[in-house]
Amino acid sequence: MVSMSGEGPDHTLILRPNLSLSWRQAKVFLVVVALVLVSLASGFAAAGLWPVLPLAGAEWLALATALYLVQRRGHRTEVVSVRGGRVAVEKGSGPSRAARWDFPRGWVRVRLQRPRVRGHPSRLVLTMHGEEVALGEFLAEDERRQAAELLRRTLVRPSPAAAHGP
Amino acid sequence: MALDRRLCRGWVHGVSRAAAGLAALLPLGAAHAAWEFNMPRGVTLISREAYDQHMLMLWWCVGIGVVVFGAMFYSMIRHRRAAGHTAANFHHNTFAEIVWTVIPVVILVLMAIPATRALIVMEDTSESDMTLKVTGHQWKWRYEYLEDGVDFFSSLAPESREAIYSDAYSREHYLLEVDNEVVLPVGRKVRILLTANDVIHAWWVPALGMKKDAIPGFINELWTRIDEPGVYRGQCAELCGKDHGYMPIVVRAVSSEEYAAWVGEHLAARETAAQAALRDWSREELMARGEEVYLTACAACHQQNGRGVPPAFPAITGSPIATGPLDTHLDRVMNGKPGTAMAAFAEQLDDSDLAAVITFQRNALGNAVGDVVQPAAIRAAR
Amino acid sequence: MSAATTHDAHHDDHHHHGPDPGVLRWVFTTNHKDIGTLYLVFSFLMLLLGGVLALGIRAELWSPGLQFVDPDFFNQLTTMHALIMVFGAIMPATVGFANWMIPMMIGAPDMALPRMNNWSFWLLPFAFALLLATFFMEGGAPAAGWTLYPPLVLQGGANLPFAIFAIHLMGISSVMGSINIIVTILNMRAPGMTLLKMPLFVWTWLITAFLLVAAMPVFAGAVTMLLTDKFFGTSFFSAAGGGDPVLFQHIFWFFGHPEVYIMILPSFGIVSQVLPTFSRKPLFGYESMVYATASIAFLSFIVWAHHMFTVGMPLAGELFFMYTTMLIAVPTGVKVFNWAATMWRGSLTFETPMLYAIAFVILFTIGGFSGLMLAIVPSDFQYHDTYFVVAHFHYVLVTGALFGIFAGVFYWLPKWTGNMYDERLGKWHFWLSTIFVNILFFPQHFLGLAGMPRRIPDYAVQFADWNMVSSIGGFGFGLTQLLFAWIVLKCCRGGKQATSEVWDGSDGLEWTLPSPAPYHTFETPPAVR
Repeated sequence: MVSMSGEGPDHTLILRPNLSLSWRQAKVFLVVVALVLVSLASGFAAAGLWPVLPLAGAEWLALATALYLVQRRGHRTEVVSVRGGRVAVEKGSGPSRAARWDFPRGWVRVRLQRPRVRGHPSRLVLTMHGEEVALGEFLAEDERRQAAELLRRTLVRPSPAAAHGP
Repeated sequence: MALDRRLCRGWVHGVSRAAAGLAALLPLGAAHAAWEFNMPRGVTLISREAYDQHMLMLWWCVGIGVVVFGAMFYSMIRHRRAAGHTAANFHHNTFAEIVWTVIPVVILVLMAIPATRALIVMEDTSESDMTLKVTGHQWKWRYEYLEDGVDFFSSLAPESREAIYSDAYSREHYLLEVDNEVVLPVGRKVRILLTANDVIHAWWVPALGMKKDAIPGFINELWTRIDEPGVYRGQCAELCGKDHGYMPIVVRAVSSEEYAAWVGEHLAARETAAQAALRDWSREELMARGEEVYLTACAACHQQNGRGVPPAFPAITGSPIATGPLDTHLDRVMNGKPGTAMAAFAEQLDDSDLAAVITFQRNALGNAVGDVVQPAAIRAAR
Repeated sequence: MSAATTHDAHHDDHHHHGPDPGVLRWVFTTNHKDIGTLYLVFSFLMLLLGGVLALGIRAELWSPGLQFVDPDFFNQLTTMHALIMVFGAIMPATVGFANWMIPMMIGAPDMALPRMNNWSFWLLPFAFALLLATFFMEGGAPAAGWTLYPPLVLQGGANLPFAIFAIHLMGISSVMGSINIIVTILNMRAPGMTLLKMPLFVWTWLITAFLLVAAMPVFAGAVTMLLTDKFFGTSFFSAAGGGDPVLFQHIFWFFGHPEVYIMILPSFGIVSQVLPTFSRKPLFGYESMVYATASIAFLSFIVWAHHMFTVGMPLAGELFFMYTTMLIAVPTGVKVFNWAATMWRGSLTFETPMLYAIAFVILFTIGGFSGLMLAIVPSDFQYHDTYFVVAHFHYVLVTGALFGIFAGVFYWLPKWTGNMYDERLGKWHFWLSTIFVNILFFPQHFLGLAGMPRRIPDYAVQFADWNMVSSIGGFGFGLTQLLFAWIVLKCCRGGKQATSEVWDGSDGLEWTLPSPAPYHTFETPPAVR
């Protein structure tokens, strides 16, 4: 998902991977599964067959962990902010995991590399003096092309009339 | 080897039966007795209810099948691309979908009404004339007539057991014949209480129309009122271990007078046996009786030659118990070994039979301990 | 962990087009297509093994008397045949399809948790090695039936802890597999692929996975309690200690009935993909298919006691379970009618997958009819534990689940291998299988009605003729499966080049990919319109 915001020379580009389930929906799903498991396991426990209860609990934990990991991976975000003469790139899926790069705006180049093998994904990088920051590895091909185009427009041709979104 | 012979005989017999069967199919209507298709209608109210429900359901299913499969085959013939049919493009039709949800519901209600009525009749065990308690053992049945005091065990007839490895066709009722038949009077409502001693069994005589599980520690009920005199055969219907296939049930339905006479004979025979247990038996008597008892009570597991099928069914030949101290041997035979198929025979056999079979085990089957056990010793050990 | 996974995947992309060479590829693979292949190959081997055991049973039942095996070994054969077929053949085969097809169908690059995917497959060979090892133990393999009813199962010898541990491993494997499938379907659908746009196969697997998650802890708990009853002095199921052997049957079938749908729902899904393709017409009533599947899944949790009508339930209980069981006929009927309506006024061609799908609908429905008859308690008292039941569940599981799997293999094989299979041999396989399977199982209805109990090694002579017919069918059906192995092998080695669409009526994301599907697909999500 590619989204762009900003007025005049200042712009912010936000990149996110495809994720078809929101965290809210994930929580609802986990609660529903928990209700089902608890109701049937406690039914058995009431009949004296309590060993079902811990097993159901362990299984729910495994499901919740799996869903959490995939959700965390799907909530990776990359933010490119263009402010005055600087370009800042932030990557992370939460404040604690954030990584940050900072470049002078005039020296940054946007490159969209074709894949070495046909059918494989292309690669979008910001480069400056041999330092590279890859962006949008999780995007769809046309989304990456769109992101590259948006970045080029704001960086390479620093026109105040840069397009707002696609 | 014996196996080869058995194999040959079984397969040759099988092939010749197949040929006979095919030949029997050719002239239409000349049905071979064994090519049975359907459930027996039986001789009780319950079995007729089961049969009627079965036939009703069968015809419902045939009817629905004709409609659904008919539509599919029509489609396969008329809507082939090879026949030049081009595809329509509809993908839903709310009216049709409602129709084929509602119609099955209606049909199900029509099916459920008679089934419910029949079930209520079948489960009504009240107002019975007599009570028969049936206990499943691995692998025999115990029958106790609670009012008449008759009590006996019923196992696979020895003749059938011998035919297992020789020629099944030599017995008309192969595997469906027993040493002691259950005798019941016709026309009287018999309440049958079911339980088991070791594992779960199920008591089932198709002609009487109902089966129910015999569960250790629990008592189940069913009832029957047999309309016609005759011999009705069935077998255990719940997997109960090695000889699950070898615990038949034979019910002989007789008139009330014959039933009363049978009860009298049975009680008299038991009195004779009780008297016999009070005297000392000769070694020859014990060994002869012991062999008979061994064949019905022990040979299924420990085998006719006493070698058993280790490890589940240990050998008696040379076993530390059958050749060791008498007390241990008595204890094992009378009280069994919990958690295994070794039953407690104290309740299954009387004093004379126990004495005889223990004597037999210690002095035959390759063992030669030399001692003799008298019924009195068993009485003392009880 | 997740970061490392994506990093590795990324790293690989720039060096290889395909997989690592050598055997280790299969050991360490996290690729959904490799793992799908592993599951399918494994399940076919188990099908052959379980089939050999079944042929042992059919050989012994060829004629009355005992010819080949002793009764105890016969019970081991029936028990192991069922355990292997249920947990080793049918379930892994459907998981194999899920692995191969779900990511391709929803436009995801792979399963959500690829390394857990590897683990869930590789537990299976160990689980089955353990289970099969019991054949060589003192006292032999488990012989109390796959239903493991106590107290009989507790009489078993050294095999019990091994068999139960093996079942635990299989359970962990299928729970991990279904967690992976749920998480994949929920999170990794391509943009635009809303839940109600998913192909029906994906839907049926989502529901199947949910059934597994709900049912597996119950089963794991049940077998654990058997273990503690046998070795740690508890008495959950022992009447002598205040327990109840019938309670085990309740808990077992509470798992066991959903398990039936776990085996059949993926085949419903496959057939719902195949029929529209060869009818050249969209699936009729897509949404009602989804709702019908969901209602079947819900009902499967409230019908369990119809497996045990003879344990002596109160009348009210018998009526309740009779009515709920009959109710399942409604959504199942909706599915069958929708399939028939999909074919109606289509433009039908009869390639092998279509033949299998049609046979599935007809023969599964016959299994459904006998199921409806079994629901009627008054006659169930006669049917219960007879060959009528054996015929019923083999119609549902062999001509149902297995025929659905055959349909799926022939349908997607060109997509997997890039080659068309030999259509002439495929048709031979279909006709031989269909004819023999009916010779095998249809007479078993007659045997059951005439009064032959199941699980017996030997029978009264009046059952001899139909048993022999059934055995002839059994050997024919078994041998026919060698032809299947040959067809698949031949297709893997070469054949007519398959196009991307493979079938001219095909529809769905998997058919937009080249054939064979590239090792890495949809590294980035495609757009769904």
